[in-house]
Amino acid sequence: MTVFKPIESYADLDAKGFTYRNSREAVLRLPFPYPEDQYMYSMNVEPHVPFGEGALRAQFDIDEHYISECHHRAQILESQPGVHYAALPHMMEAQWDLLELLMESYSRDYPEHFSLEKKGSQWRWINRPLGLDDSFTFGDASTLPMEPMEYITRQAQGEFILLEERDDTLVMGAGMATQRADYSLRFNLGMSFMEFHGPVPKLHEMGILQRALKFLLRLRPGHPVRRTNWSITVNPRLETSAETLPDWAPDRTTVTAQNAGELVNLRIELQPLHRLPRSNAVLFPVRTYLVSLQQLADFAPQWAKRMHRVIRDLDQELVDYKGFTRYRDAMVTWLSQYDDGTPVDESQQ
Amino acid sequence: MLITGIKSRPVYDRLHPMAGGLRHLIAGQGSGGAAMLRLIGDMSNEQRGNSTLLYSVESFSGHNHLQALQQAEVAGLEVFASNQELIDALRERLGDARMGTRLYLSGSESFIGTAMQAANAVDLNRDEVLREHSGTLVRRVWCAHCDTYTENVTQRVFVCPGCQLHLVVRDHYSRRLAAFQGIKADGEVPGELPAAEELDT
Amino acid sequence: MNTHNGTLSVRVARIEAMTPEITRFTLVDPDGKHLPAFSGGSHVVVILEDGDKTHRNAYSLMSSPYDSSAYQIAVRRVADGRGGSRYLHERVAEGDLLQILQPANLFPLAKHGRQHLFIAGGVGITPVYSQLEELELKKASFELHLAVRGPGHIALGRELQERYGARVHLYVQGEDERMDISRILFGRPLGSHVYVCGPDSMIDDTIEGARALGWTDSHIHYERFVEQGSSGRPFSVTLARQGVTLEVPAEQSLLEAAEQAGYKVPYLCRGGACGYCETEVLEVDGELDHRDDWLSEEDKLGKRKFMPCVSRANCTRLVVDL
Repeated sequence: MTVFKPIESYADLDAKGFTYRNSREAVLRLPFPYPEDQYMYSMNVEPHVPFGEGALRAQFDIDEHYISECHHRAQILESQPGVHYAALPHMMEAQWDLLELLMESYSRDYPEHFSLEKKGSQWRWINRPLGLDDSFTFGDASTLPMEPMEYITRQAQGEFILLEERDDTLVMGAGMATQRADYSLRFNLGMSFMEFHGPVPKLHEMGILQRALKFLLRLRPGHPVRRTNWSITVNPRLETSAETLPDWAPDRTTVTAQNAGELVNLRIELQPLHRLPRSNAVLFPVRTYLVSLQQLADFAPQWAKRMHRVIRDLDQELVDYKGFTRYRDAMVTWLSQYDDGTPVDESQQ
Repeated sequence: MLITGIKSRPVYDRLHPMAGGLRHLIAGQGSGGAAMLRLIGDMSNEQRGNSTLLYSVESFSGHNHLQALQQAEVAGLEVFASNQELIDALRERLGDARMGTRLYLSGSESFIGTAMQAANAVDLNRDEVLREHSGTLVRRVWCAHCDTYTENVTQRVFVCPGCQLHLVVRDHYSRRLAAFQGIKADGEVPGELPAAEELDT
Repeated sequence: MNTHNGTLSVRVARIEAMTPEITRFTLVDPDGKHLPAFSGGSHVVVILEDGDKTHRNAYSLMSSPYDSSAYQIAVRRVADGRGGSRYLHERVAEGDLLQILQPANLFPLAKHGRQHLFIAGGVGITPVYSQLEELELKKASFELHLAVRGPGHIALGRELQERYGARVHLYVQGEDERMDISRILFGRPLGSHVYVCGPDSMIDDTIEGARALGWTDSHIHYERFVEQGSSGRPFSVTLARQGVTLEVPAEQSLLEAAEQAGYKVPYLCRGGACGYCETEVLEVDGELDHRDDWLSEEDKLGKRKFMPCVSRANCTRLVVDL
């Protein structure tokens, strides 16, 4: 049974500093994104079937930060209305699909925390960690306090993007994105798959986007797939949108070879993609895990060793895109103390 | 973060008569009148007889093709003093139009973008609309920080009239907002601005 | 729910004869749980073990996408078919268990449409059932025009008239005037969509009529009755990845022959419509007999791609990338 930590902060909102930390168990269960010592984009997609006891066990993973993350989402939504949650009008079926998928998955995978009772279209949802017990009519938005997507994703970890299939492509139709990495939800809404991937270097040239789109268009209900992605963030800051760039971009200048372990966080994104049955929409969730280099080195030294090699040898275009051009060298210097040159052996940590 | 070389920029067409259409709505602005005239010239008599022109004389560069358009042998010509008035009228025409109608747009990127919002509202698809960009290459820019739209932007870095931040214009375009994205140019180190540059677009 | 390798076990709760040829089956979860949700226009593949033969037949779901406590399918008995529909009509009884695949949708609604027009013939009405349910929930504007072969075949149409009233137009052969597709399509507002499901001639008339009125292809949607599998002259094929050569007999498709030999080939519709089983042709020394709706004319003439679910070959050597 997951034990939840008391509420932690992901942003220096009230000048009390970032209190977010991982336990050893939380680090060891991470979906570490580097299978090899080198990293380049690939079609790293696999069937989303349960694996092991870590982050890949459940359909939608929750961990010790669940309550904190829901609290953080509520705070961000309140402070900037209309910026982090948006849904185009024709996405209502997809919203219900998402609500059903999350409720069924959470109640099946974490029965100690969540329950769902269905009597025809009369549903009762119990969320024990957040103290909720709500009854509503499935399909009737007026029986919920807010739109179904906002309602359920306020109770979920990770961000959620709904893509509508149209004209042989996928179009961004709705999103709950209080933890997005450097883009604007309002700006990207209505964009096609090729358009919203426009700012990502190399993908177009490598032909990966065309293949990925073709693959996603053939995704079928009941057969989800997953991939991982990653980035780097200074401080354990979940919310790094384009809108708030003036708040977080200056942090990038504060990193040195001495403090990189404390300040720099590996940002791991687990993306389990689902075709939704009623709307035919594709759900693109991004479950984000933050871990400081120091915690990685303390609890998972073999992964720190590998990360040193990956960051040291990473293509400069990817470094620029992921936004750590200014402090890559500081990171590499800091991580080098954990790399003795021997092969990485994950069984040794 | 990529500023240039982003692949979300709209790719425009060259106006040509769409053979399957039974009625043709041709809307343009300023120097876009030239493309309208060329299109009409390429049409058959029958197509011209089923064409209605909407033309706005608002122009950033001062080009005006009104006189030539008035000579065109088409079913009708409506003239507007501003792009906004034209787009309001277009919205109404599209609301009443029947299947079989084709839409042609020519003018500035901002004009085409906002006209496309009206076309999308009635579910006109890619195979029913052609768009030709003409005239100056000024951009409409949306500020990610304060939600202000600025028309006719010509510089890579400019000051947002809404929040006074220096914005850098990314080659990243949103069809829904009909605008390019502007974000704080000196995000990491205040005062450290990218080099000034005329937008080539 | 019981899922095993993507298949779903369901119990036949009810069997109703709707017309002399069409029988409706209501399917439920054996444990009384909800079945997977689906969208309007979806179908399921029913897997029937018939002695040493396995039938895999696709049927449209007729029930409401918002009530997943049961699925309904309508099966038209095809006397001279390959045996799947006969098996369902003659051998399956209420209470029996059936294996089906999860629903998939190759005939979805245009979500942005402002008006939806359905043209259907006979058993082609089945995918429209769930689409109308979905549109009614969204309070969207729609009309149905349904042609049937005679007074004995109107039960499904009457059922829909009871639900949707004057929006359902019935054309009974021998009683009513013939359906005039051009008149149905005339003068519709921008953003209209037409969906047609029925015999080939009805589909062709609709496409032709719509184009003549200036409709573009993005507003025309159709689903042919896909005759699953294929039959014709036997041919032999080499599966390059497996390194084996198989004989495809007259009454089987390449896909079926490969499955019978124990090879797994990805598939979805089994009728040449979805593109799921598309494969590369590595070598061919004769003619390919393309029978699908998926490949472009260019692909077909190029002899580089092939749909194992329906297409055949007239050659002595064919090597595919399977």
